[in-house]
Amino acid sequence: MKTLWLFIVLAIISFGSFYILMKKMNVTNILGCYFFSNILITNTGVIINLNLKLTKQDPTSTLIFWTQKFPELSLKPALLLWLIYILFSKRSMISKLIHLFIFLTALVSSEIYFVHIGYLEWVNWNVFYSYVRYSLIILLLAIYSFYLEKLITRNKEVDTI
Amino acid sequence: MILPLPEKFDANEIFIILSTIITLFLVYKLPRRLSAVIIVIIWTFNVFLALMADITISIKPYNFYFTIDHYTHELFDVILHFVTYPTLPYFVVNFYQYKKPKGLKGLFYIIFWAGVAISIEWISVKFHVFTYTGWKLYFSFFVYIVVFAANIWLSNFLEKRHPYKRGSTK
Repeated sequence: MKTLWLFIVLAIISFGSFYILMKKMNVTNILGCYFFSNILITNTGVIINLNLKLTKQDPTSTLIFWTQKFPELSLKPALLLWLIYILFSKRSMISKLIHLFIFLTALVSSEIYFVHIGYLEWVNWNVFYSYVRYSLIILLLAIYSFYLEKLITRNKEVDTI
Repeated sequence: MILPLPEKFDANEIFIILSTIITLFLVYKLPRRLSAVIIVIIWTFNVFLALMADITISIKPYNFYFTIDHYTHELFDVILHFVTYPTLPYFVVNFYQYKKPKGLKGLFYIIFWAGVAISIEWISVKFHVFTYTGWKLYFSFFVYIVVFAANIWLSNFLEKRHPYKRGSTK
């Protein structure tokens, strides 16, 4: 229960950070990236857990379920969105790489924490795979954000959707 | 398997393929009243909602229903989430932007579309796209009202920032 409260507090901080991010980034891009980051986190999570059975969790516990759901909807998208903002900012390449590593580690750490407290079991999964998973998510999210920003800038109609 | 294939290629898969083709055809053919940015965001928003609902209440510990053949996330689930589901909210938002009904008219507009959605869901239940294991069809009606209201709110919010320009679409 303590962990759930911890992630509720982190969720509040995460949503608070979106307010700051709104002043630095286009609101439409933030909305799109928030939804898309959730899609990527959920899809990869479900494939790893349900389909490939590389991780395992107690399927009957609602506490475990919601404790993992909260960061999926708040903390993880917040970290991903801030990272996208940093990657598209005018910082040096070294600075961007350092930030990328820090944010990736933060994302992977949240999973290690769940494993540590027994909410998640890594069957055929490890830290390296987690880094690969989140790197892929960041790559896809960056592509989405880049083209959405281009679309926003042009603000012209799509003829073929 | 990353995305399992159907156990049997039967009625539910055929229903998904046909409904996806028909709705995509309608999306392509019917007149648009939305800018490209709004279409992208509305589409992403509805994929997010569909996934969030299905990966919250259709899996353990809730298991209120399952989609298609089994509890895993199969290939046709991805088609449902990414292509089939978002088309209906797209129509709701697109036609809303023509006359923008307000007040009671707006409410009736949402109820009408919730009725359309629930009818389609009823048909899809008959085709075993959804199998209820605790869920009731009328729950969906209230969910659709909230979802369509949220879509309309979001489209109005975005319309102010990325207005539709006449003549830029067919």
